[in-house]
Amino acid sequence: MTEPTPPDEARSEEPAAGGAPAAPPPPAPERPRRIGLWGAPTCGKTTFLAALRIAAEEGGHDVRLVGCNRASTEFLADTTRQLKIERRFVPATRELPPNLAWQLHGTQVRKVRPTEGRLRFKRRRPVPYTVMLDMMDAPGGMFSSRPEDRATSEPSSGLRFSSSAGDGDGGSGDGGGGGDAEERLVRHLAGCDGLLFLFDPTREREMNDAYAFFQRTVLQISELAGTSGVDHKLPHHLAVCITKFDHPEVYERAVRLGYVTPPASIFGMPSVDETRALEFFQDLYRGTHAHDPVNSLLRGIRSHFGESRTRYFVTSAIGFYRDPLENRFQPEDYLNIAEQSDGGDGLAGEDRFRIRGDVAPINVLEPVMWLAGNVGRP
Amino acid sequence: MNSADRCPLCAVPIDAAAVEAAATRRDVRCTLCGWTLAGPWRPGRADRAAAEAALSAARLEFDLRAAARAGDDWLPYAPHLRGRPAEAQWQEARRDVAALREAARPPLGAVLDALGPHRALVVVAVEDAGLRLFVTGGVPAAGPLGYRELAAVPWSALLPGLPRDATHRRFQLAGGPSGIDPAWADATIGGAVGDLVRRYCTSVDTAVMSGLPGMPFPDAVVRAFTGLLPDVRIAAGAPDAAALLDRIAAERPIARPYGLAALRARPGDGAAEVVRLPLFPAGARAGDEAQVRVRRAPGGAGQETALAVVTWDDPPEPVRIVTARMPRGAAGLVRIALDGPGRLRFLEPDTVDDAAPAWPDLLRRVPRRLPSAAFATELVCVLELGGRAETARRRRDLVADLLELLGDELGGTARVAVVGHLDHPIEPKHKNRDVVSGGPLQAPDEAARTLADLPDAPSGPFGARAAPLEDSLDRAAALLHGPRDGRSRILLTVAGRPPHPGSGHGDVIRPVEPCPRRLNWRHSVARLEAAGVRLVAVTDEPAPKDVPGQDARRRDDPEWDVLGAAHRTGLDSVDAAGLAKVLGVLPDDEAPPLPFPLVP
Ligand SMILES: Nc1nc2c(ncn2[C@@H]2O[C@H](COP(=O)(O)OP(=O)(O)OP(=O)(O)O)[C@@H](O)[C@H]2O)c(=O)[nH]1
Ligand SMILES: [Mg+2]
Repeated sequence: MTEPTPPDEARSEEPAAGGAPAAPPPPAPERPRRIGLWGAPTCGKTTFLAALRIAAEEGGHDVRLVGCNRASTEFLADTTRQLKIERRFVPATRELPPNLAWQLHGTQVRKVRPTEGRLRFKRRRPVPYTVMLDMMDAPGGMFSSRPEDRATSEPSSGLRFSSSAGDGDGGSGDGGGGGDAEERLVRHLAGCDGLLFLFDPTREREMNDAYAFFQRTVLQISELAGTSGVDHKLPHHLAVCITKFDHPEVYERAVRLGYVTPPASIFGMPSVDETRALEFFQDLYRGTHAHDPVNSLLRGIRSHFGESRTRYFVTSAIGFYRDPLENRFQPEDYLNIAEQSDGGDGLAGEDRFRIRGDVAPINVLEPVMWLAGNVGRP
Repeated sequence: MNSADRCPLCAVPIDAAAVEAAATRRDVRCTLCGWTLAGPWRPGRADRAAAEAALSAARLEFDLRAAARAGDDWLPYAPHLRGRPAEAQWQEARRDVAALREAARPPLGAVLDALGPHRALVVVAVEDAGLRLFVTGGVPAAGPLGYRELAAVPWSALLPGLPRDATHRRFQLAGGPSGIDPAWADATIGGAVGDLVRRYCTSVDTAVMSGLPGMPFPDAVVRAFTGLLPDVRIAAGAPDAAALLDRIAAERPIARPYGLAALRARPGDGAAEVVRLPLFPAGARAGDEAQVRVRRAPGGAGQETALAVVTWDDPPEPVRIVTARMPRGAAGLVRIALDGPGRLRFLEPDTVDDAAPAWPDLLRRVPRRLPSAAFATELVCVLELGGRAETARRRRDLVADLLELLGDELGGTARVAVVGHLDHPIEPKHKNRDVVSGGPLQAPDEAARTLADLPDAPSGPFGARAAPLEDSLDRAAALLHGPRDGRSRILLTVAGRPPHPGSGHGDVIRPVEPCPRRLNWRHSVARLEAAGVRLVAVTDEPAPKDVPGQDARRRDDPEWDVLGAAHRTGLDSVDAAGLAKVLGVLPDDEAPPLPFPLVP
């Protein structure tokens, strides 16, 4: 695959204050798992990444997400603060930032054969692991099949990472820059082990462009990526994430169609079980008057990605609102966004909504863990 | 009759021959004045001079007593005095007369009091010019407790022979030498009085009062009445009986209560009816004051209204009707002083015009039903304080203009509460903070001050989809409750954003967070509707159908259909006058003004 981030550099910038356990550090993986992320503008890519650390640390998963370099660490710190403390969404991504290099530390229960002792049967025991993530958060416009969208997504100003571009991983600091950036993005995605495709039902109703964003990028990746060893499809694992599950438009539909698992999870947060996510995806628009993009999307997904290497998730980066007093999900008051106005023509992108309460991501870490755990397997 | 036929002192006629005959045996004295007219003793020449002197002195003394009865000064009577008095003589005459003054008589007022308010009384006044007969009391309750002159009889008709000249007559009435025989005088006066009694005093209470007490002929008149009417009451005299009656009438209590005519909608069928607001109870007297509150009939401060004080009779009798402008501010207060039965002085309003339509004309102007503007208005103005600063200011200005207009036009008829809401704080920690401020139902002027004190919203972004209108509506429902009692109740919502839902998130596509206090605005509206409140809304955006050329399907918040059920209009297309008309609180210009003020 292409351009692996030099592991040495990544490790050298890992902050020491990670609270390393007394146990000997887990063996570093041979190479980072590259996970690519794509989807239409405003479908929630950056927020997804920003919620990843909160999901890791507060979602009951017992994993840690840390940056491998200054820019990656700052991204985690900045976005976590914005979501949690300021209760604001992250700004729209304006140009292609440097790659995000993160380490995911966790433990996994595995059957392992003890290395010493008389009885060397396999036992179930927690095994620490570390996954190196190499991600790229592109402006959604770059995935567009319409050239004018790609142009507007790459303004020359507003570099979110510009202040830290110099600290970024070498060679990928060229933020925008038209064809260069696009080529970098496509090469990154093609070289990924796993791909996250984000589908935003609330955008789809209005824009109806998810398929356009999907298929152009898939074709570009195909150009570079070759095929899987087992079938003629792309070698990538694909996590399809139906985003903004917390939004009433998505949530109410899921409830009505009976996809919402009785809330057993933390704070009673509802979710759609992974096993039924595809079904829900197929049912999203069934029987409504809206144009149904799911069929064409599914056809595209199935023709390019192996069925066994594809999974579906119903996600929410911010989760549902919890009343500070009750501190539980309440069906009559779960909306976690509040639309804001400045009295003019409406507020721009990230200022349009404020986050009402705590951020409690749903199914954000899961697809990443799945991809991380499966990379390299057929 | 020559002088020899009269008493040389008092000049009453005497039978000279009889005196002469009797005088041979004893001294003969004048039956009236006691002067020795003749006797067996014949005075000698020397004695004659002394006798002349004694007669002159006696004559002067006699005349001075008459003058003292007639007045406080002898000078007017000087031409009729036989001699010129020294001051000491005059004073002595006055002392003598004063010593003989008859006992004090009860005042006429006390006599009337004793009779009670409804009985008529004939008052006979003995005066300088003759007799006057009045009737008073028992007159219609409405007018001034009047009196009416029944008859005036000059002295010449009572007792022929008295001089024409008033001073001279008074001198003779007081006992000055007149040459009239007292017995004849009694008989003559008795005959004349008998005629009067028969004509005026049968079967009615009579009081006699003499302005000339102690004078022989006037006393004879009084005696004649007492002789003919055993029940006659004697009252203290006064020089001018009409003036006394005037004064007494003013001091009399009123026989029937007085009230102020006012209009109301009859409970039940709502027809306009004239009612009396109590002013003075029966028995009220001059000096009493009364006040009532009325509502100015709609039609502005310039409008004149009739203030009609009427009796509690059925049908009522007008007592006094004036026209007045009910001023702003003190609007509604009518204060009246009672100067006597039927005599009213308006203290408030302080300028009234007696040029008023007659009572029947006023009654004819009462419409069958009162216009809606005539009903007391309870208005709650719910005002969104947040949102765009410039728009928030325009909302405030509109309400301020409306309050000023209502103050001018309706005064106390309208009671207005101003309720404003800020936004729910986005910070979850503060989300339960109270966002509503405002005042109770109060006069428009006071409500304007409440409005001025409402806070301004902080600058910066604000909720795009909703504002805590539900909190304001909850307050409004608490202000407008209970029986309506003919009041017109209005909720005026001046806002840009609809309320937060009580629970849930409304539209799934553009969801909105529910009220943190879980207030359900629909419950508030249901309470308001149950209290008979009309719902009028002025929204930042006009209803889509009201904008020509605009897509009528433009998304409009459905809440406005409810909150603007009676009327909905856009902030840009309305001013205070237009709004007042929509609210139905101002009269329409065509309708004739109401004749009376309204029951508060
Ligand atoms: N309700 C809800 N809204 C979300 C969520 N995530 C993102 N949004 C909304 O979507 C907007 C865009 O999110 P971003 O994360 O910036 O989307 P993006 O895909 O990175 O957009 P570009 O950078 O413009 O391509 C945010 O400003 C939010 O308003 C979520 O989990 N729930
Ligand atoms: Mg982004």
